[in-house]
Amino acid sequence: MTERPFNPEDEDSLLAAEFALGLLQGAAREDFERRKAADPALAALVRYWDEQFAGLTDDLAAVAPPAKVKTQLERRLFGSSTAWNSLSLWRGLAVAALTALVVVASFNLRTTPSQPTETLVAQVAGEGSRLNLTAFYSDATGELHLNRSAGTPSADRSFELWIIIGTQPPISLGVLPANTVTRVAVPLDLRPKLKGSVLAVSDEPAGGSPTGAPTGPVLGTGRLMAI
Amino acid sequence: MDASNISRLLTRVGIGDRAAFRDLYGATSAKLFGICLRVLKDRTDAEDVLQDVYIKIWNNASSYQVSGYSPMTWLITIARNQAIDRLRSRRTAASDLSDAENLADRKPTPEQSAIRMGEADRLRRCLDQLAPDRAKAVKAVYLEGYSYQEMADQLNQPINTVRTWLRRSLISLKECLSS
Repeated sequence: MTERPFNPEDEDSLLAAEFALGLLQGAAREDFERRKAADPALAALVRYWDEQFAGLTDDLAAVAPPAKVKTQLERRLFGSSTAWNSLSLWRGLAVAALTALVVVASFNLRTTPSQPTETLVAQVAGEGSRLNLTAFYSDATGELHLNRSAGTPSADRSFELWIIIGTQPPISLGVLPANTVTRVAVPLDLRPKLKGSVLAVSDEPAGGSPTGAPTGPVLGTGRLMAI
Repeated sequence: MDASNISRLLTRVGIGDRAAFRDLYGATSAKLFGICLRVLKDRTDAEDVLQDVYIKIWNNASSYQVSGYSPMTWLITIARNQAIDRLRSRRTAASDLSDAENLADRKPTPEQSAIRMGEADRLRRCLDQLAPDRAKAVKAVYLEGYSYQEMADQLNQPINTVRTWLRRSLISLKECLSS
């Protein structure tokens, strides 16, 4: 192997390889990260090396992890998922709710029961702030009020709004209009299921996804929470 | 499951689809657990890190598509980096004497050699073209997470010498890969 001086044009590729390997530390690493965030060419060099180095795992044997890993993972991510799906839990809740209703009704016999309205809010955003959208939902209107403070589709593309309820596939709520402030009516059957569901915006061909499912990059997601 | 299926699952995970997440876990967890085990050489640590890996995947899947990575590389890179982070924090906690063996020559088992010969993988061919100690160092940095300082200590060389030496290996590797 011939030893010769480094080419200056190799320097960024070398730094990218060192970054990918985790060899840059401290200030050198921070400097590189800052440059990489601003320079897609540098990010592409890191990607190139990541793709190459990932090949070093080709020989490694795949080993199925024990089942408890998945159970613990689901608990950490989604709360106690097994209890959540259990029928007896829901039956118990239904009985409790019914009992509460009877109690409330007996207390409220002489007063006009006020219609409880629920307001939900979600912040739909992704990495790199390509999109920032605030969504408000009120039971009273059944509409989502959307306010987009960042993100505009390019000329031949559309932003499409999706809702994901539980583990179901995303349901389209339509293409976002050009206005940054808009309202979207939520279909009646979805309204009771909105709390805790996830809103997402994807980048789609003009007019929306041709398949009925998201096809383009997801620009942001946010969970609808009660306020 | 092929790459385009993994990619589709990742897209759905990016919008919070739990069913897609479960499918993705089913399709990829054995591969990623294998990587965690190889790096950490400890089942409990590997199980722990695997959970962190999938939490990262869940939280960052929405940025996968814009990242431009192929789906398996995106997943492998998260797993490798997470495992190396754990390994390094473990090493700082207790300096591991057996680490010294890791830069030493380790011959592949016959089965591994067979796989190596069977696959016309460019990376492998290019690593084979490097001097054996250089190829080994690149692999050790990726899979054992060595820093320049640790390599310098083990090889008993100044850190700058080690850095230049490894950088030359990377240049040769890149030239071979792009030829």
